[in-house]
Amino acid sequence: MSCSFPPELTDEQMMAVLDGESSPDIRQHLTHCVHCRTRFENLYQFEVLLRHKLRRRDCPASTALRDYALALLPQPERELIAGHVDQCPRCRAEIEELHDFLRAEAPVPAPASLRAPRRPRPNEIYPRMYQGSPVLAMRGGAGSETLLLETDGVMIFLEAQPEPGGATLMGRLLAPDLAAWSNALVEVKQADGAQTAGIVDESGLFNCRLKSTASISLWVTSQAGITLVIDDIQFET
Amino acid sequence: MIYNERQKEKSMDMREFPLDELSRRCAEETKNFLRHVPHDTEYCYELFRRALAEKDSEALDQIYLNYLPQMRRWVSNHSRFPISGEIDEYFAHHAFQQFFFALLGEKFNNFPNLSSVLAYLKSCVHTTVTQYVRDNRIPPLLLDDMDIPVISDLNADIEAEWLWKHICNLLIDANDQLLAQCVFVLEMRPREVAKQYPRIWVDAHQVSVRLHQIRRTLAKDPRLRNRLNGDSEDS
Repeated sequence: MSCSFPPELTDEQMMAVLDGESSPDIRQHLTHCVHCRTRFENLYQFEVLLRHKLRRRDCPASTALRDYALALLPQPERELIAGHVDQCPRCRAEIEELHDFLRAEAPVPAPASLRAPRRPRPNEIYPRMYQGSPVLAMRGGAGSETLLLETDGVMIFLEAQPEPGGATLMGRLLAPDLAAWSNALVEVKQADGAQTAGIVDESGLFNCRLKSTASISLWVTSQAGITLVIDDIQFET
Repeated sequence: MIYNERQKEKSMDMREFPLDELSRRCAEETKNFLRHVPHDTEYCYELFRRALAEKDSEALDQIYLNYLPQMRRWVSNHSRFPISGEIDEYFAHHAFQQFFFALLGEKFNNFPNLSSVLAYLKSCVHTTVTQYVRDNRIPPLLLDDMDIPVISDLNADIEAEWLWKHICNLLIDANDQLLAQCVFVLEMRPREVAKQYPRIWVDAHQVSVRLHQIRRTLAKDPRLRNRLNGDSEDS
């Protein structure tokens, strides 16, 4: 195979495309010439992989930059990040964006209706229903129902207690390291989109008020950032 | 001084308020704020204090109810949100989780008023979106119909460290290492590099010429090529 529009493009001309500094005729050439395009795609692939692996490898996390920008860091850490920011245009831009964002008060339309998540997210784990569950009236009074779920040694009991105007979702976490789940954040989304939240106490207990028990989703997030996700919980009561 | 004493007294009174009443007043004052009429921030601040400093689950629920919709609006308004490919609810949840753990218990005392609490809440939205975009950036497709290379993120930190050490071994010159850092780590364009380091490179053209040489050196190295293609046996 040879160049369709000789002379064939030089490496320098192709690298200018990678740097976003090429002229339209070079791009036109690459669009229509299979020979030059194949060479360019090899260069592009190498460049993309390299940049992906190295991108901002020594930049502080966005949370650290935020705490630096809001003067919430202790002195040694602050100095360390100041030294980096001084040299790094990307981090300086990120801090500038934060300040702009905090100043902005532009009204925006209300969010669109909820859509399903596109894919599983990192640090999310999905407990499964324990064999034989639901366990009816395991610990509750008449009319209550208990579900039992488990994953990697963490067990979750969920019970919906009907009450006027809705129900109370009561939960209990059992784990070898229960302290890791103490003060975990509990978030519940109900079928109508209403959301509610609670906190796991030191005994692993939590409760949240529900409008109804029809199809709820539950997230429990530990301080370490691990989230237990239970979708589409169905109580029969 | 008198003002401070009054404020203190008011705060003490507010701690006696029933939660329902506090939530109602917070919602009212929030409406006043949005209408740009005089408003009192103490009710909402007390609600946050109970939820976070006292770890009161019901107060947290009220905060969640009142502020999650606002957080979703902030997400929608963030300049990087459209390129994230995610949904606003995802970022709002993560931002709330970040905020919750950052202010829980005694840490709440670092935030003396409602405006500092809300600024932090909003800043959590920013960091959640920004970090996500940083971690999941899709490479620009420079031409139509190009395929994005398949990229594995397994052991990403170790991989980056090995790659960078290896690149420094291949590029002996300190200026070449600096240029590689600017382009491959910080994704700067030649003109940005020339602007930042005018004493080393006089203009973008000089940067480009040197950069072409660096790319040739790196592309010729078989270990680097193998490593980028996912072969880690020579680590």
